[in-house]
Amino acid sequence: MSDELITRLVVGEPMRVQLGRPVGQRLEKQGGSQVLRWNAGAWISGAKPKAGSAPTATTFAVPLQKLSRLTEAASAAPRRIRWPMVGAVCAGLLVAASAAVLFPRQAQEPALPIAPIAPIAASGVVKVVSEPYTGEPRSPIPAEGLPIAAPSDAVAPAAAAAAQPPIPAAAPQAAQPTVVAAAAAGARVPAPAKAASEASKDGQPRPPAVLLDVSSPVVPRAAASKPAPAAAPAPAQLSTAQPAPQAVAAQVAAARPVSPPPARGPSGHGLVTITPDGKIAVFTNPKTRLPEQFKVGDTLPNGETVRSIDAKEGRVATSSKEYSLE
Amino acid sequence: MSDSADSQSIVIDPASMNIVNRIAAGTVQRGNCHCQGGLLVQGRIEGVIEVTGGPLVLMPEGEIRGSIRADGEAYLFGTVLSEEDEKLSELEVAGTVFLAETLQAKANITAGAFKSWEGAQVEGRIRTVKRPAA
Repeated sequence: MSDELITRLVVGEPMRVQLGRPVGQRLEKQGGSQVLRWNAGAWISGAKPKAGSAPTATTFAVPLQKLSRLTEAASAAPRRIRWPMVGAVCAGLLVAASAAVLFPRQAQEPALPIAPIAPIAASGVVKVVSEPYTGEPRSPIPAEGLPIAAPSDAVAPAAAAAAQPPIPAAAPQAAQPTVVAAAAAGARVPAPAKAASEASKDGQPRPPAVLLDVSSPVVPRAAASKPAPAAAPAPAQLSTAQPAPQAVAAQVAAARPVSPPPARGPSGHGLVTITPDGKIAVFTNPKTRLPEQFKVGDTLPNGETVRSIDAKEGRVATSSKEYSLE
Repeated sequence: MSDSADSQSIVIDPASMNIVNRIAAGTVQRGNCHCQGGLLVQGRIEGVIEVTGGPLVLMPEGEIRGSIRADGEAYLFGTVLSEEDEKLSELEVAGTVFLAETLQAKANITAGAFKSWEGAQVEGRIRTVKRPAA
């Protein structure tokens, strides 16, 4: 006997039982709007269109979820748009655009007006002198006595180079520093004689281009027989007999050679010059390679203190060393 | 389930619905009852009732009291009585509970879903629980 038969025997045959009227929403038959009906996730119009007429505008095919999103966006748009911010953004864009247009134009414009270069011949106040500049003050050139230079002379590169106030002992004495550097290792250098010869040639003393280092050891001064000839070149290094301390420093700075500084030797070159009054000694700063003035009591770049300055013998005594002029 | 203009009815077929247990009319069952398969109650059953593998069908003449638990559906046409100390009975159905028009229950019903018809009377808390996805 199958289970079904047993079941039918035990439980019984199928029986129909009444449930009653269901409880729930029935838009088709009871309640709700007769115009719009919700069917399959969409609102549809309950009104039947007339035969042959176009669909009414009351038919909505947009699902409820999408419709709610659209309504939210539409209602939120006026709230999100803040007109003051929009105005501020537009103003900022306008300012940026104007700045981008104006600033490049200003950058292209020259800062200073470029004046036309007047021809030398037309100036009438320029005197062409074909001799090197020695730094001596010259007498004022009378305007009426100046010859008008010809254009060919004015533009001559050699004359122009000679008329320019070059750095003393720069071009013509470019070879001297190396000569002095080579001989500075231990022997006296014929540079002073060479400088003296050139000075005698030109008639004016000219300082040799020597770069002396303050930190190098001091070489004892040579025999007393040479102070006189050495004294002559020593002032020759100053280029004039009565230089002012500032002028000395300027000329020494101008006399700085282009070539590399000489090698430091046992002579201890560091002292450049001494003023005639014996108050100031000029030393070369090894770091900056520039001459600096020091008085008695000042501290040198190497840490030594200047104790005394002897202008007659060209000596400068410090706390640990004694510098002398060659 | 057939629909008429106003009311609906349902055919309970024990064979197809796997209803193999029956409390006949006039029968009173007290105690714990664990039914494997559906249960058709036409009599009266009290106590702790557990129905698995089939629906619980409480016929219009049937009565239930106590703590009832069914893992299928429950078709309630009859009466769910409160316990002797006036405490509401507890009915827990995992599936759908059909509250027919002839139901009179004094119980807290917890089910996955409810389907009600006009006239069903329930005194107690009705709670639905989220059923796991099939």
